[in-house]
Amino acid sequence: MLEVEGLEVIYGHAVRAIQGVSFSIAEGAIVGLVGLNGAGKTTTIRAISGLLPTDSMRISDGRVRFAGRSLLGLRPFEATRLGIAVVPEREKVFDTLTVRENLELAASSGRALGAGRTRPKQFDSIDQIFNQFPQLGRRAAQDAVLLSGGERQMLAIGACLLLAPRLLIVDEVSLGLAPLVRAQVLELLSRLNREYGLAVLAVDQDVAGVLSIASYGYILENGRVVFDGPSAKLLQHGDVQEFYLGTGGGSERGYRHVKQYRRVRRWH
Amino acid sequence: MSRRSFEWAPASLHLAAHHPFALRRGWVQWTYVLAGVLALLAVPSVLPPYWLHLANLSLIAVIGAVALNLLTGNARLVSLGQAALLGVGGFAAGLLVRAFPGIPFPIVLCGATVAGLLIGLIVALPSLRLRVLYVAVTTLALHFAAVTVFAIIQAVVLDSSGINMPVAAIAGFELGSAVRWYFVLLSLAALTVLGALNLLRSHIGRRWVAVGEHDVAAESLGVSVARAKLSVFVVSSAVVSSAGALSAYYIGTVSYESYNFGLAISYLAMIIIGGLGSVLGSVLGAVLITLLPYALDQVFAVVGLQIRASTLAGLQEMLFGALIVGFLLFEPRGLAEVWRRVRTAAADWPFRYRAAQRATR
Amino acid sequence: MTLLLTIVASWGIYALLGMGIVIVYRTSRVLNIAGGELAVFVGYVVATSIAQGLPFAAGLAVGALSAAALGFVVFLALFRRLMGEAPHVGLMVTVGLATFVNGVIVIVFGGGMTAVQTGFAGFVNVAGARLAVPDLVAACGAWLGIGAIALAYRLTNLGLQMRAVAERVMLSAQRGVNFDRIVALSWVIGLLALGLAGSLHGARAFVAVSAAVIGIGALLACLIGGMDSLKGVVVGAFIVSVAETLTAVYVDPRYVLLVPVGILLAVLAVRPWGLFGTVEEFRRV
Repeated sequence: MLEVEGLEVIYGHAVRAIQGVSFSIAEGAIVGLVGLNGAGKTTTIRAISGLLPTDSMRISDGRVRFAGRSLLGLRPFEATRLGIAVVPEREKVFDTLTVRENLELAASSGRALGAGRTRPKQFDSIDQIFNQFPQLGRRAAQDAVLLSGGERQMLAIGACLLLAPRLLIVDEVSLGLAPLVRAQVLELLSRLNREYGLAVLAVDQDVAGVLSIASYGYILENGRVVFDGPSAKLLQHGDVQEFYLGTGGGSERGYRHVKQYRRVRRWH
Repeated sequence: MSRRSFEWAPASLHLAAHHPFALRRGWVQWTYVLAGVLALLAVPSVLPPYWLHLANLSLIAVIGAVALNLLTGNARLVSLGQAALLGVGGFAAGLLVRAFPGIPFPIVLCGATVAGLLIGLIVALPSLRLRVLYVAVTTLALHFAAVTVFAIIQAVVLDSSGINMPVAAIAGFELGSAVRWYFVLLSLAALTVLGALNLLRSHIGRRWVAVGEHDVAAESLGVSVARAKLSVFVVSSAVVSSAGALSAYYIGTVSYESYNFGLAISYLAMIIIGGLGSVLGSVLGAVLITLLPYALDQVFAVVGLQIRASTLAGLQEMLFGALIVGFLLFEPRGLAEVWRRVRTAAADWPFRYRAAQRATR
Repeated sequence: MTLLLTIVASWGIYALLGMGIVIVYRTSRVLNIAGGELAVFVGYVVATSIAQGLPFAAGLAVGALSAAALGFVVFLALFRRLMGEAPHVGLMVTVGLATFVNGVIVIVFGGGMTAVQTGFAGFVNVAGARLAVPDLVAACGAWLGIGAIALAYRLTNLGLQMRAVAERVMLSAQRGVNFDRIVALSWVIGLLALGLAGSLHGARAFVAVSAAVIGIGALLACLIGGMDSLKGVVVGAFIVSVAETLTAVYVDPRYVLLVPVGILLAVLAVRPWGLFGTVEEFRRV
């Protein structure tokens, strides 16, 4: 459904934020895109959804196709019209609007552009979103600035669902969330995928969490995809375990080994 | 480099890398400089009197425009209070002359400069905490307040329709003719231009540019934003005020009506059209805008159309406005950039592009 | 009582003018210095159409159409290209626009003093005071306009979209809002407000090139209230109109601008972002 090939984003005139990034998301799949800070995850998402600040950052190479149509050069609201909904990393809700107004905004856009796309019955109206997320229902008339981190995530996801998306991209699924809430959000994404066939691209630093719900994963480092594979395989890979999961790793930890860490080839 | 992005002329070192002649001052360049200086000195003997008068007006405008460009072009603090500052200088000069008859011209000039300095300080202090837009509108409001104060001074304290200024004299050398004024104004303008160029290359100027580009980032790099804003305000106000005093002596009278908002806009037009952040731009813009009304008049005279004074004024305003908007939208670096392009093209001719090695040396 | 009406009328007009400026600022981050000139321009259009024989309501309609068209054209020609630029660029463009519009006014309308003939003249006796009918008309018209804008902003879907774009442009784009359309709409509504204010001022006082000074009062109101706050500008307009009216009546009409400027400086010294403006992220200095 979403195919990215050889994407390259340049910052300024020479700094390549991401380079040669290729991945794909099949219909109804959950795919994880993981990496450390600064790996280029958010840049990739922005490039796909048309949100790069065009003066300083731009796509210099590559193709992005969604359901057969190219996404390059589209304005962000056009990408939304095609069925991509993005929950950004920060600034994911409108602080000065109430919870209900946040949802109304998405609902009216969704009505306008969802014609012809089947939406799961559960997410046809705001009341149904409140059914799904009772905490939001309790705070319906409050300004969104008063919400906690987890509630904001719920609100952002709820708003995106009202847009009748085919693909939901969540940037930094669990950032700033308590472990319990983190688990709830991951479970929510998994359920949305299972029950309604919604494709999800989950981007996170929490590798274990994302790979637990995703069927396929890509690892981004320094702007390149260095490894990819089915989640089970990734979770068992020695390098993933050592550098991302904090488990495993060789027994030898001498000074020389650590000092030459950078020169050790990984991902083979 | 994206043409769309509004990039103002950067100062000093960065510019040197792109300037074809910046770091190589050979004898050819110095010949050009000498020829230019001789041409400027020969002007009074070549130009008819009316044109010489226009040249003098342009020189005064150059002084004011260069100062304004430091504030609005480099430090990016849009100020709409130039007319008020010119008025401060003019009224300071007039009041000094009223209070101390026979006071020598250089002393009055210093006094007006100090007055501008103080006013600049007073205006700068509260504006330190404000965003750029707030500073702009505050200076706009202060303009109207200042004009009101001038009117009050003129009506209440002076009880006349203006102050008549005596003939300026420097140590006995009377500035009685346009020619004498020309040389004095030329030296003062040259001083201002060289001073501005030097300031921009110095650490003070670089701090101004840094604060103009991104004051928060500058602060995090150790630049005292407050001190930078204060210094640019103070320097700019002092110079503009002295230009006001010069103008008062040159024109011969001081009256609050001459310091209207249109004057403020024309100075802004000078630096926008000339090129924000560029000293050369200030000079080009100042000359162009000063001559524009007269040129427009001549155009109509030549074409033979009889036109009412009010319609002419209206056309002039439309032209001003269109030039300001047009340059901001399409040529934000102004005439200075046009000049640079012409010069580089001439230097590279018959080739179209500069070889890569030369550009990066 | 007459004084009260004067204050209410000038408050309404300043608030309406200020709203026209703030609505545009909120979505496109351009502070419209040309507010006064644009208002006077539309005032001239209305005054001229009425002078040509149209009844008051029709004249207002003509003015509204021209204001809407002007807003759209100004957005398309100027500010569409400037979306995303630094804020002072837009400000300087509006300075150029103000000069241009001034020139157009002089050439097209002659720049002389005229007035908007409402068709209601004379005085009315209310509670023992003689109230000028044009003042009443101006006050009612201004407050109706303010109410309409406020209601539309709060209650309609377009208003919701405008508020969203005003807060976070990119997020609203992600939620499917066509921000091009919304910014254009805000320019149109802004110009409508400016035009109505200019016409009502013309009904109450006069229309002339010098009338553009009401733009200054409106800008002061915007700054006192906070540049991105609609309710702030209403409060700011109250302060400005009270200060101006009282100064004009009890002190001297020539000092009318001094007091609001002083109040502005006092407010900004304490709250650099205005009374109701969004608090800046970084405390400067």
